Amino acid sequence: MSFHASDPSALLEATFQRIERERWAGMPMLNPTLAVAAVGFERKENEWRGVLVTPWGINLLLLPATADWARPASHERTFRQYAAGSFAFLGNHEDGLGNYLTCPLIHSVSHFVDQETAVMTARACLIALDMAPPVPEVPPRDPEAPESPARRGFFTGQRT
Amino acid sequence: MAASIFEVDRESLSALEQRLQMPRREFLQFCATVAATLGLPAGAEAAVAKAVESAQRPSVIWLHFQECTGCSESLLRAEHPTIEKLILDVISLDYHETLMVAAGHQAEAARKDAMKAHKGKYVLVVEGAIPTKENGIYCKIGGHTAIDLLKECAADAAAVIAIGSCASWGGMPSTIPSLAGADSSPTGASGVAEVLGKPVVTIPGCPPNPYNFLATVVHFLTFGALPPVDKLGRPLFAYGRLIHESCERRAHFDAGRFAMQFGDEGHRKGYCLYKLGCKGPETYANCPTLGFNDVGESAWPVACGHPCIGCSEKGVGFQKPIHAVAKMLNVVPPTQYPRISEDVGKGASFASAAALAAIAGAAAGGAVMVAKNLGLSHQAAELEKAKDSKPKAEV
Repeated sequence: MSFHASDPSALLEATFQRIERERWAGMPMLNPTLAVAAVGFERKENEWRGVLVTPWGINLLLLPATADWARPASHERTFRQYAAGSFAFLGNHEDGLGNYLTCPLIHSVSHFVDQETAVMTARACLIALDMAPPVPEVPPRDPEAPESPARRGFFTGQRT
Repeated sequence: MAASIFEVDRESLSALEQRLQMPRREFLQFCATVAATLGLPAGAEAAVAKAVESAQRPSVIWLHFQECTGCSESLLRAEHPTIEKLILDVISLDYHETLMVAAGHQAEAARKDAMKAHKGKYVLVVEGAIPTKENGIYCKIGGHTAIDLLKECAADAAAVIAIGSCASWGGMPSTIPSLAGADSSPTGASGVAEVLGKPVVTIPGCPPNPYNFLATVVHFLTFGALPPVDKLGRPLFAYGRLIHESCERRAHFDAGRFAMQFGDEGHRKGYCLYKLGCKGPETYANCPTLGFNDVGESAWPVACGHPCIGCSEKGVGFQKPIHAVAKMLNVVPPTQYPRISEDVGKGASFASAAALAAIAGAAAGGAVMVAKNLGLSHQAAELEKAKDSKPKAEV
């Protein structure tokens, strides 16, 4: 399948439920209180964007909505610019689902006490994507360090 | 923001071009890589360029103790030839046993001279662990123990940087032998902070990425202070994320595709190495997003098909067997962001979960692209050179 004309949530959930049964059985880092859930998939231009909750992690996923959607080679990053910043996605392919891009949001879900919190967190992540990020602290300049002479020249009317 | 504070005019750059004997474009690309490594906002490369270009290079005294000189090697044998030129130009390397011409008493005199001339202003870089057993007799230079030399040089230093895992926490020399009754390393190898009794900036790794060291020095030049660090003294720009968070094989992990043994189908296809003992989930470092040797992606252990051994992580590297499965650590966000990881799952507030998304997903991997471009531009330059030289050869 090269693209998804309609919401891919059901197909995505079925695929990852199969992955959970076939490949993750018995793995120690699974959180048994969580289940596979596709959260908030919406069409953004030529792709579907949403969050996938699984018992082993919470990821941001992009799936093609049109045939011209380009997927990078495996192990290569591609970037998407959202209000919260530039996000790095990795290309992936799964039989029955087709190509998709994935960006890990939360990689250890052992702390989640229930599915509702995980889904709420996923929704919050989607909202956060379209909000400006928290402003990082700018390291303070050493007070001992001299001011830029060029700027001092500006105030005293000197031309440098 | 930073660009408006530090303007880079044509005149200062052409002077720099002469001094470094490298094209301005290449120099600015180097600055962009350093700025991206530091996680500075777009445009900050101008501030970095200004700081590097200023004549005030910090005097650096570089001490070697129990080590293999791999850290120095990685710094100087960078694939990109101009990097070593920059390393020697960004800092004024006044004492470095491997590189200096002087020997014997002359060498020790050079160290004393540099310490006197730049008292309180020089940067002390320590490479290698410090043996502490039997009063430190296992490592002596010019008749002085490593302990005495370290304390003497650290006393008047403006900043102390421990480079490599050995200097950071003991590293490989601190490994306890698998002999009955052994409870410490044969020489009592210790890290710099432990011997000095005060925290220092550490750049662990075996070897660490040269850009992490250079970016730390450039941060010192640009902002007049060392970068923010975690509780182990590691700069957050480089050690704020787990390898697992930004690994290029992460998509395979999420899809449950694992290599089960070396050389099997999954290993050949580049699947996740977690089950082969990859320590990425418990090791903090930017290897996947920075790569080594300016070739961008695919130039770090996991990309080459070997599980991460956790070389930069105390208690993991050189201690846990390579095949042992890693502990899955929780996200510890950099301290400049709100600390919310503990709250997640325990009725996290909507706002804190939203902030977490911004931290967790935001582009790790900017630097790798810039570094790759640096390598590509070098490649292009070499091709040009080859083209130019060809007709001459035929004549």
